[in-house]
Amino acid sequence: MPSNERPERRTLYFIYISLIILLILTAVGGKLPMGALAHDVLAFGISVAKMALIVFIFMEVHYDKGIVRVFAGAGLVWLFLFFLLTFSDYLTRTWRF
Amino acid sequence: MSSASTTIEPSPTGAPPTRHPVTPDYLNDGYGLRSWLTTHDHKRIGILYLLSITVFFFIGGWAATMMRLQLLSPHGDLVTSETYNRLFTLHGVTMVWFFLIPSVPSVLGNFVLPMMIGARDVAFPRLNLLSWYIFVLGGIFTLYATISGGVDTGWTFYTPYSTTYANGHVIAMASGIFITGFSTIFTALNFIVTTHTMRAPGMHWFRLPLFVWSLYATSLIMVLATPVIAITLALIALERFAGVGIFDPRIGGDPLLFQHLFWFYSHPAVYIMILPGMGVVSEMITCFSRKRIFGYKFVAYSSLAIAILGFIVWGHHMFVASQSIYAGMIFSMLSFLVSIPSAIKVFNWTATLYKGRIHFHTPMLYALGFIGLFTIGGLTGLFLATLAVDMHVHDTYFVIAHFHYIMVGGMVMAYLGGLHFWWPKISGRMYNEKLAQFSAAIIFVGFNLTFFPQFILGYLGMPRRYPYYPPQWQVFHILSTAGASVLAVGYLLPLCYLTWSFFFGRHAPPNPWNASGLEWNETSSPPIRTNFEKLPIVTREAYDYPYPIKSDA
Amino acid sequence: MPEESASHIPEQFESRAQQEEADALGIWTFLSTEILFFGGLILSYSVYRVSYHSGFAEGSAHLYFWIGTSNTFILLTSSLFMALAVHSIQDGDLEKLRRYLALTFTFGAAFLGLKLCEYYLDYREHLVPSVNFDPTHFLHPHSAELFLFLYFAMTGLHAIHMTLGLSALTYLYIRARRNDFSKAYHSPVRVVGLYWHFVDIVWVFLYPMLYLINN
Repeated sequence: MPSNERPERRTLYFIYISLIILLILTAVGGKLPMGALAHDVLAFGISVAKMALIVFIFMEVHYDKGIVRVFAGAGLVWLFLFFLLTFSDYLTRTWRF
Repeated sequence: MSSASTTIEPSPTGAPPTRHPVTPDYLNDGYGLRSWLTTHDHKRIGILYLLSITVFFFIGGWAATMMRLQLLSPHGDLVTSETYNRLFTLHGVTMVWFFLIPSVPSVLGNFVLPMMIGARDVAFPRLNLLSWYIFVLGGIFTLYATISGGVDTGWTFYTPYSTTYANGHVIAMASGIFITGFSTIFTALNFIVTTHTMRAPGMHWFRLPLFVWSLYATSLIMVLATPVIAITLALIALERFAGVGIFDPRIGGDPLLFQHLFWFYSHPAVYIMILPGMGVVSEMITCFSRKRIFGYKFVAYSSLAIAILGFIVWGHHMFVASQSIYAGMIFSMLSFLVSIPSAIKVFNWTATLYKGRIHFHTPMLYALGFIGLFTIGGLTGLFLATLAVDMHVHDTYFVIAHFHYIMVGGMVMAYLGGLHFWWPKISGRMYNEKLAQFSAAIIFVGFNLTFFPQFILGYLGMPRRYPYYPPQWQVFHILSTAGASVLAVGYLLPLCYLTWSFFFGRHAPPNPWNASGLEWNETSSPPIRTNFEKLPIVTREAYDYPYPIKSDA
Repeated sequence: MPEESASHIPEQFESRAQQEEADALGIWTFLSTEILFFGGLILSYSVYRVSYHSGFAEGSAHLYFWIGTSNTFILLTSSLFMALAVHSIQDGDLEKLRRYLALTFTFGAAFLGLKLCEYYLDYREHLVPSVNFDPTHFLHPHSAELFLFLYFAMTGLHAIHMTLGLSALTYLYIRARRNDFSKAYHSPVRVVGLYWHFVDIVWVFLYPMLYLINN
């Protein structure tokens, strides 16, 4: 398979090292003193970065054609809609449940 | 063979695509229980589903009969309140999950979809068979729960009643539905992949029959919504089993979170139920008015629009449940929007009828009934989407009449229409046309008599799920129960004459309706196991009917 | 019916390419369902996390940070081996495929083994709702119990998926031993690989959500 159709072995190791570095960042970042919101944003951001590396390289979505990418993304889009509208309820309530 | 409705080029040798004499049709390709229970043939799997869902239809119908008998008198003498609760739960659970959701997709869709796109089978035939077995397994759990005494939570399983206080077989019932959900998911997965990858050469997306578009849109909903009800039911079962959980107000849980999770699935579920019926109607309206569909792309895109918009309106079930009023406003507005693509379909069907050559065969009667009754049901949905009106009619018989107009007046009629339309292809036989038309008329009359009084009852304030009521409303309940008995006769008739015709009916030609479509023009009645002698090459548009005449259009 | 193998294309397909396209779309469709399946749990978690931050932070502090972190490392490594397995059979190297499948399996099993040990330790610490949860350990016992319920539900569901993944790896290994795969045909390896990576991604999100809530 030509190299533009799949990642090279080298790339796979490189991505793995990156994932481990991100893991260390996550673990260390969790212990650093910062506001709760900053923590959440940092942790979530790093998780998204890890997910991107795994999805695009390990799962080869970077090399896939368009329709596969749409299928790969659809679930996330729907989950986002679910979160958005559910929180439109929880964040606008004027009472505690 | 038909003349004006071919959709393929003649084969290179010029020979017509007739059945080779030694190739048996799919019904005769192997005999005995084992050949049926281990089949990979999508057509046989469709028949397995047909038999299974018919059993559940009559179970759910029996529960409804008991409810209607109870409601004949205002004091409620037939069954106890507890039993009444179990009856309406049984009715809801069986009708939603074990009849309506699988009806068109798993029976008609399984049977027809591969042929319509020019494929020999679905992409994953073994997964297709597994889907049926999973359906049966889920059904067994549900039947076990029912026979053990049932569940009294309603099909909606609201917490904390279902998790903490109900006495009944909630875990068994929830497990049954959980399992059946996977049947839905696998069928949908099969349809999506099949439609993408197995269309015959020349079968571009916009040459597909609209039934395929509607099944595709339905499958999208199934795949994205069903997992959420699965996790929700698992959470209820876990909470009930453990005695503590995330919906428990005693530890700070929010019962309304359950409703968000539940309705995120269950609202799209109603579109799962109706969209395939709309697809069937498109096929029948065009065939029996001999006319190409008006606005093909609009109808196709409207199916996708319904699928997408249907996901963002679920909060309209929770207007009075202590959801934030701001969320309520958003959901109300979005609910108005979702009516638009449905309306587009109704306009386009009507425009298709205009200047067509109408034939009142049985499928057409069901299709016309669908359009009228679905419109009434759909319009009353707008009343319910209006926050101020919903305050008054929420949880009354108005809601019940609304969704029965759509589900029974719409969907069941579409299913019966489709069953009659494709019956010659499925069974290789013709049914008795006069008897079928008569039954359709009985169903139409019985249906309206049953459910129209319920709009009035709801408006007057009769709550749903109550086994007794103030005596001044009795006349409406009597009308409704009378209608239900007429409706029951109407449903029993096709059960009898279709079954009879399967064994003794007149043999059907390959295309008795002169319909367009690969399933009519390229296969025998019934088809051979691999559908086509030779895979077709498609060069014509979907609805190749003589009307509208070019000078008119 | 003969199993799909290096030589046989199933009857419903016209070509190997069509079969592979169908397999790819099929597994991604299935993974979409899994996103929504876990998504319902994650939504529930998020709603309560926003409402009960202190209780959740307390619950999180009682979990075993080092086990969680080690497990994340183990799972990421197993994903590397899975990717290498796919890469090997894309080259047609059956021997390397078997080796990497075995390594993936080993690390996956290590994850589960460590998880079970962790569950036992959680039990010893009286952290299990409905079984032996001890509210006196907490300033916010109710919301801590909510957190712990979600912890067990989410990691439990994840562990079930891991177990199914291990079964799938075993199935692949057996077929690899029978030389069922080749450079031309190895679709099942890709399909299982995608599933395995997905389960890994779920854990990548669960880890900070459960172990790293800071007060």
